[in-house]
Amino acid sequence: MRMAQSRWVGVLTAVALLAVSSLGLRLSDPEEQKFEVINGVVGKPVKINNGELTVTQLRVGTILKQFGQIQDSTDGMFMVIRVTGAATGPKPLELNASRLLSGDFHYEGYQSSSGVNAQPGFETTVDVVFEVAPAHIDDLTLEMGSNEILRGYQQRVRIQLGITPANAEQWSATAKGLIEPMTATNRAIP
Amino acid sequence: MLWTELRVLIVDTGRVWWRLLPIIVGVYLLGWLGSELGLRVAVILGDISPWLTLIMFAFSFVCTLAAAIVILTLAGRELGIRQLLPEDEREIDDRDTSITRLLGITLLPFLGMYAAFGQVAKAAERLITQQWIRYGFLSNQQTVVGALYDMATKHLGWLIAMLVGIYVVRRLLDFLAERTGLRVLGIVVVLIEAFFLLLVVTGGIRVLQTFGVWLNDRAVMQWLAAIKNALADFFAIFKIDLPEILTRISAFITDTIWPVLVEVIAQPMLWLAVAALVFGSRVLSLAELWRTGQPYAARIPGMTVFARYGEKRAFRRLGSPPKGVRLAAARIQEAFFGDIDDKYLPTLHALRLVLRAGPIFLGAYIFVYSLVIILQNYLERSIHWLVGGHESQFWVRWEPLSALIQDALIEPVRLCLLAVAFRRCLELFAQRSAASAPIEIEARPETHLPAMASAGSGLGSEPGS
Repeated sequence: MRMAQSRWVGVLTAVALLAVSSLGLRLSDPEEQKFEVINGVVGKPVKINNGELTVTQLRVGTILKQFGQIQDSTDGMFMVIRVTGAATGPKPLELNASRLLSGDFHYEGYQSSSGVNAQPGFETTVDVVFEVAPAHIDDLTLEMGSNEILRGYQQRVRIQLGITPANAEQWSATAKGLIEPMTATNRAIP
Repeated sequence: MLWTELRVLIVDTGRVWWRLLPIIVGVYLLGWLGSELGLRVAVILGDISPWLTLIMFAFSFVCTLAAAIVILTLAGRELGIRQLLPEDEREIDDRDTSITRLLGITLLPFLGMYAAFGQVAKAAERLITQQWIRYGFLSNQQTVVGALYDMATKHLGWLIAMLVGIYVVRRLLDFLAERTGLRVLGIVVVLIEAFFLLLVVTGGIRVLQTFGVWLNDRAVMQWLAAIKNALADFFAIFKIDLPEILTRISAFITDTIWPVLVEVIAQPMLWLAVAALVFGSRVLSLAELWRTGQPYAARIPGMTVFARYGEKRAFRRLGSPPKGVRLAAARIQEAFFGDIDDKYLPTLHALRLVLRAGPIFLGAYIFVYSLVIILQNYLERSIHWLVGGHESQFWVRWEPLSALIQDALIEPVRLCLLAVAFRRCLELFAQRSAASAPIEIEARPETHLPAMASAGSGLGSEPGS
């Protein structure tokens, strides 16, 4: 009887140790921290490897016009974010992957190329387009990084767009009518 | 007691690691250097042939493996594991005198472990990355991956014939090495075995993928899908969403149960079993006898699963030795099954052995092993935090150094823990044996471990309690 009891105590202790070990491994897993996050706000340049990134404008609409003609319309809303990337270092700035984050909701770029690239000494301004669901835009954050095939601990910029649960409805309400993204412009850094 | 087990594992590991620190770090660095050089040369050899790349890649693995085995042997010696054998039974196993023999015996399980837990895939990824950098993504130069893919998809027969051919050549050289005692042959055998295993592992994945694609095109898969849909429709009558339930169960298994089984339980247990092989069949046989509560005096050569092949055959043999055709058949059987008996089965038996050490010891061992891995994880995070995020070019150049800092600090600790854990297993089995049939057991020599946590590893406590 005592032997069986002691065996059960042993098994339960082992299970408890397994649970603790499992939790520790899960919490410390380096895969959970795949990239370095650099936070920023709208209007202020964020320093990253090879340059700086600035979000200067945010516009919303339901009908997308490009190259002089209506391209698409949506039941949700199109969000056009103006981004300037400046390659201040000796290497090109390549932030060719972007997405919007709102809690568990992730929105990929509406167009296949939704990033910003600039050659050394130059800055490029582009409008990045997203199609989002108006009900899920709380704390919407733009995330940009490089889309590299090889793995490594890289940097990603996250810029809060200023859409809060308090003003999310206002943004949805203003998302009406035509919106036209500008074509990319390139100029030497002054 | 749990506290005792934790104290023995942590304190003894720390002490062995500290005492052997210069030598084991030196051995590890030598292994790392050989492995890195091997990888670099393997990439360059790709200009001539992808097969030469694979051969050199095998050499790079052998370097890593040799370092691990030497560290385990040194830790085992420091802990006096072989001194646990009674004086009159302390026969020298050939794995004690020959590193190539030891490599030959342990290569398969070690490589199997590296493959099972993603280290082969990780190293292959590095090789592929280096080849991409050398040739570019759109180059016509055939890489190892390309060669294996072609072989597995277009010339499967050739791949199988090649594997059989390599196995036969390896057995032949093995036989010659045993007969002549030439160490060079032993090294060649180890390299061939490593190449053979890497070919099986890397080529096998391609064969499995091809098989998966072939299977998906078969009518039987359509039938299974139809049955699944019919079952879903049937359960829908009772308002049960069967596909949703199955998806949730499968997600729970793959996201929660499977990682716990593989990372938390299987990995430490299998590494302990594989490490046990390094300490020799005599030690394992002794542990097996203690585990079953049999006094060591009752030992008959060949009766345990860890006994050497010749002893086992002698133990099993009834009547006079075979002659003529039976003798030839026995020799052929020995040539093929002797290999399995000698190298493959002991790993399974060693696993079975360590699993019987008692739940508290196993729980404590898994916990301490996980602590070591957690330490490694945080070390990696600290390096990332210190260095910061960079583009992939940076990591291609500096990743080996980053990995070296982590591994040179943590890997020797992990290997010392394996040796300490195995010695603790032996002590627990000895206690069990002593409790069931009091016999005189020669304790480990105090000259080796004067300051070890002897109270924790004493022979008085209840095994597995």
